[in-house]
Amino acid sequence: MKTLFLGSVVERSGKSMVTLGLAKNSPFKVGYFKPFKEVMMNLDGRVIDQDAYLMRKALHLPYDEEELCPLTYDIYQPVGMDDILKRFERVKEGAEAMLIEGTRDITTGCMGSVSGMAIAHAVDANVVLVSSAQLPALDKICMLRKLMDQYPLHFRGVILNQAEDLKMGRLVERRGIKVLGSIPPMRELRTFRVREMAEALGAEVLNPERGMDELVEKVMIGAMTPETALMYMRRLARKAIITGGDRADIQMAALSTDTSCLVLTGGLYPPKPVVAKAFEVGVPILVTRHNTMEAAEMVDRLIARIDPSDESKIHRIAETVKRHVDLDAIWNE
Amino acid sequence: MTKSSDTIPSAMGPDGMRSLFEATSIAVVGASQKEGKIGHIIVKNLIGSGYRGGLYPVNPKATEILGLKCYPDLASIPGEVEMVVVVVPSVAVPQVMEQIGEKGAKVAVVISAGFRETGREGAELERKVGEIARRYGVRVLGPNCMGVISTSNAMNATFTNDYPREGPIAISSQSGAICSVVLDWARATRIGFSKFISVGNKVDIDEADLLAYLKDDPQTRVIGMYIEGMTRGQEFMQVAREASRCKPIIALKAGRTTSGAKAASSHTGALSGSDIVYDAALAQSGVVRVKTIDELFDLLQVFGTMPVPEGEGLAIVTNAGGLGVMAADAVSDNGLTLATFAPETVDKLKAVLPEEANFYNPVDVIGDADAARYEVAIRTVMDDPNVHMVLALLAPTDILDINAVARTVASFSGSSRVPVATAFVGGEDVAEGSRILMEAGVPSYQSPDRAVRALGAMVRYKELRERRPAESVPAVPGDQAAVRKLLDRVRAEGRTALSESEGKEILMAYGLPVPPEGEARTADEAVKLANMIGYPVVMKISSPDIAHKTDVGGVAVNLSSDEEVRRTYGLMMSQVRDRMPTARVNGVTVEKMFSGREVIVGMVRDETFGPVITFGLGGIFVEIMKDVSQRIAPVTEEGVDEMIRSIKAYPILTGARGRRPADIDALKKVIFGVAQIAMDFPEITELEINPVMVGDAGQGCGAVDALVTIRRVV
Repeated sequence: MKTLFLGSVVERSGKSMVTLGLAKNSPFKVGYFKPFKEVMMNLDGRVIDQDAYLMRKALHLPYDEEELCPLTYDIYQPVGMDDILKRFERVKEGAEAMLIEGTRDITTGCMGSVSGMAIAHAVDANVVLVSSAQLPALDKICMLRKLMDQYPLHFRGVILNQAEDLKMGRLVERRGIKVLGSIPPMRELRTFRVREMAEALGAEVLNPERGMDELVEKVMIGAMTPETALMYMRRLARKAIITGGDRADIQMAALSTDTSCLVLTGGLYPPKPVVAKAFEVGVPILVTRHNTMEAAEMVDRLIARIDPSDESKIHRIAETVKRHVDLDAIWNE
Repeated sequence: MTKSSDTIPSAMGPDGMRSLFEATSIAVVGASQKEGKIGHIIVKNLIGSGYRGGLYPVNPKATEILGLKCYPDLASIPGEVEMVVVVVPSVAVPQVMEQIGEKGAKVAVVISAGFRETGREGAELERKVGEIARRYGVRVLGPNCMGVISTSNAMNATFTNDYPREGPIAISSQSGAICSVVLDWARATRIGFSKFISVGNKVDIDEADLLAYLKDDPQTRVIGMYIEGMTRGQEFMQVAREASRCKPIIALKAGRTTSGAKAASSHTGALSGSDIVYDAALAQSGVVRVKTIDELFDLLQVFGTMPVPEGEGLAIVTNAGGLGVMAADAVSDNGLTLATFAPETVDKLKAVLPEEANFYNPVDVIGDADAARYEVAIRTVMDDPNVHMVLALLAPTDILDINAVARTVASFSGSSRVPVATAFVGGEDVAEGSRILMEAGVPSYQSPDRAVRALGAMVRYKELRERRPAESVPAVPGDQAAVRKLLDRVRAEGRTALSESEGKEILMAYGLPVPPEGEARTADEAVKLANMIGYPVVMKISSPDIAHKTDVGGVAVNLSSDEEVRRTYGLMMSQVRDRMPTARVNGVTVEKMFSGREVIVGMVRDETFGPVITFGLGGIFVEIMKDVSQRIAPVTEEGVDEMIRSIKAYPILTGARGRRPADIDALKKVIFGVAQIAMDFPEITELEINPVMVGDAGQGCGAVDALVTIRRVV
């Protein structure tokens, strides 16, 4: 059986997206395993890993998220490699090939001897690194290659994500590392819909009739004077403005510029005239009990998320990976 | 605006506006028999004010209200109805509006509340009301307003029983409470009104419509306005520019500060974020802006009672030296001058005043003065050819018959080309005197500085009216097609921010001076480029990821040799790498170093008023001193001159301390160009050239940076 370990070099390298894209473009019936939980989500009272949820849904896997992504890496409650292998064996059944997704950094777990590299070695997997195409990440790839040689691991190469030009790829190849793909930035992946935002924030929507499916491309916190706010607001299109429910000045300024939704924090409701104006221009108002900092963090997490029900987004990801990654080298060699 | 907003354009004929003030028949829909109800009070007020036209209460449940026959609906009223006052609950207003349209009435005054101010259902209702009215061509005042008063028509179509006397002031207010305040003040100051309009939510009739009517209204001599926010800014400016040449317009625009803006936005949903823009817009249209309600009152009083003086020379007559000194201080703060008396005047004063008195301006008639001494002193200074207005100051003394002085000053009212204002300073002792003065139409203030401030406003208005700026807006030819193509491409790429070089392309398409530049990817290329352009040069890092180049060591100026260029290239690369390791770097741009004074020319598009052009000195002047001037485009020759002259740092441009003057003509061309670009391309929401380097006279300008933002939907 073919086993592929996908390791990430730096945070936000787009590992989940690449994992999804590779699985969707595999000639085999692919199974999925992610040893350690990372970003958690609440699903009907179950707290599960977001990636596991996405992959279970997208690949129609017959296992629960708790089985696909069973463990927590915690140095005080160490997990043995045996345990990891046992869990891996369980979800292998029924699959022709396995995709193992590592944590946000392949070196995580070194202290407990359960790093991504150690796991890949234990299951005899081919390793593919996913990395952003920026200088510090590229430096790290060169270092990791040396480490992997020492195991030794079957290191197949690197997929560069958010690669603006091909120059970086050539630089890496010159150092003897195979570039399996250079994926250009998918701007639409960094956006989400107002509806998703409302769900993530658990917000009450005051005028949900229009604008819930508008895209949010930028998030701005409105805590400055209205004049300064206006200056920045004019420069940003399709934005969400996070501000206090009592900042009618900022709210009105936002409604006069290209705004996808207002997020009002602190559980404070806006004045009626603002609601009327928002209704007229078709901009939803999301009222949340969280404070501005919390709301901003929640939205930030949303940026990295792929909604399993967003079929068009998943389709676009699959198509992009197909176009820019050497799938043959990954699945057939 | 992001999405289509259903604002109702007030494009309906002026007929309805005339009917609002001159209606010969009025129906009150929602009239009530019950005392204390608004529907009752309005009928009572119309009767009480002595309205002589046809008056028709409408209420299906009543047959008679206050002795008038009551009709079940509008249709059953025999003959025409010109104006309809609506006081039914908001949900019923759309239906009533249909009936008003069918009846063929010209104007509706919707007093009812429960519209936009209550939220979205209300907003929807309001939109519907506007739509129906537009369909029938009915003008609408309100909703959510107090109504309208027209004293010449003996018409009090409001629910306040404070019916003012007839007089020269027209006032409009966006806040109902301010309406009550004004009417109460009017009673205390014996001020009369021609028109009184509570505009409410302004679904149709707004300040621009009112000005268009009031400018030709013979009963109105001065117009006062309380404004929280406007939507039709450009129309307002156009009408106000004309109207302010006919008569003074005084506006109190609230929401100046951050806290005020927040409160105003909560109150009426007005966007007050751009208060400086209101400043520019009001000034540009000849509107006198005041900051406080007592300033509004003070100015209405002075404009409403006194003729505009012929000059700026003020004579002060006082019985207390201290008051005179304070008034004199205020004189220079308010753009007035203390008149220098002709020798004959001084001689005459010497002849009639005790020798301890001061015969020069301010004239001190000293503490033992009586009414007769005031009279002779005032009469003497009035005759002086250098005196254009007189301010009589009074401090209470035991020997002084204050009321007698008041009666004496009152006797001058209207009898001379020289207007007289007063400040009787104190409390209880001066209250009756003050009342006598106001009753006689003499402005009476509580302090010398308030009096001087009011007089100063008159002189400023006089200058403004006389200036009559020639409306020459120089057209700047530009390659519109090229800019259109560029903007379309940017939009197609889903971007709203243009790169520096794209911004400069736009400037060049309009013939604005952009110093030659090129991009280099290595130190050798940079040197070659520098030699082609000619030393000295500026080097900037070229990276799509770095917005603030200076912050990361990405700008070097005044490089004057190959060696310096080479060294700077290396240094810049390593600094940028160190500070922004993840940024993509294309290399550097090398451009011709243009030395001169740094200024900033910018444009932001205001939702209400359109393109606002900003000018100021660059660097710390713009950031710390906020020393900028603003004007709404289109800008005239005179407007640009004023913009440049009005910044505090202007002497730096004219050649302070032995420097040569800057090339102001070239700078003006840049400002005109920016205004032209803004008018040609409504999708450009922001354009900033920071800095423009202005060389010495004859040497031109250079636009060294360009920031352009567009919006997705035009």
